[in-house]
Amino acid sequence: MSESVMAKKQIEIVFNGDVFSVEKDITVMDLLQLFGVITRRFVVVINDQIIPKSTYMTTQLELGDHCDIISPISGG
Amino acid sequence: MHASPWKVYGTELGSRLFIGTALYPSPQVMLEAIQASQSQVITVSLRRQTPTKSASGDKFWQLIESLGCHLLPNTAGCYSAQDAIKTARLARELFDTDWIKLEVLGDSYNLQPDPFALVEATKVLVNEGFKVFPYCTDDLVLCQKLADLGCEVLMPWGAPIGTGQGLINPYALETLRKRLPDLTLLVDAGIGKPSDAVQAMELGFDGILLNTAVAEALDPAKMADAFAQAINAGRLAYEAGVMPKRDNAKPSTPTLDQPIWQQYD
Repeated sequence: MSESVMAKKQIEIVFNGDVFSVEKDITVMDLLQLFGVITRRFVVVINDQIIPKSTYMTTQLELGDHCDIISPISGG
Repeated sequence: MHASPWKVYGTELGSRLFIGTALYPSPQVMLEAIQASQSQVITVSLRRQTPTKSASGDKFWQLIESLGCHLLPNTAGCYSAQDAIKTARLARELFDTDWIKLEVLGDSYNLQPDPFALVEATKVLVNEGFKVFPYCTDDLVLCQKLADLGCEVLMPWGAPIGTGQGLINPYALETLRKRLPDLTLLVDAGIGKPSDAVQAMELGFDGILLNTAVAEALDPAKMADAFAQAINAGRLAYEAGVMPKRDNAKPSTPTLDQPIWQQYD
């Protein structure tokens, strides 16, 4: 397979504020594994929409999507 | 003796101290301080966190879980109703609670709540089923409006966040207590030392929310214990009924039939 075909299979997304190239059709679950998200308590947000945990396996990212992982921190 | 238990949005609590989880020198010190405070409600927050930091995030969560307290997530750092609403929705999903400490700031110098945005955000969140704990100023009309929107709990400031100035305007706080007798009122922010907390509790406030005064003490666990005792003492005094102030002295020892042979003329 040529490099140009390979390139077509990559899309750019914004993950936690930084731009990354990932495989086209990557799911939220794949993304979490790719970035090694190991926390037990987090929320995934894509383009300001909360993604239900039950759909991590089926929700696919698209070109230009903004995906954020929201985690607990200390607060007053 | 312990002050009487109380209810917050239907949840019965023994301790009248809500305590924050920020600014401690270490996670272990935080744990010890919260345990010493005997608090049953702790405040937490949320942020976008990069995966490389996720392990530390998980450690924080494990500590929080080990405490077994009720969680009160905040919307700290929000300067618009829209941002606060968005953060509240994330907090509900993340912490699995409909309690939200609603902070909408209007001034970055004083971290003073924006009363207009606070009302706007409260209206939306109450309609979405949130149990809103608004961090507000001590303005009576604002507090009445928040109560009208469905807030059962209000959290007016004693002084700006983190200043430790104590109760800057006790008159306003006392007025709130008198005019809103059925509302649950906590002083949130500005408490510096246990005597500040006692003062608020003696005014009839139902509880205190604090963080910096404990976290930045030389010995946070000891200070947390001091606050726990002070808040209990202040509430007991309120329940016992404080004597009225008088302009003139009144002897405490009876003067009738004093065994003095020669009475003064």
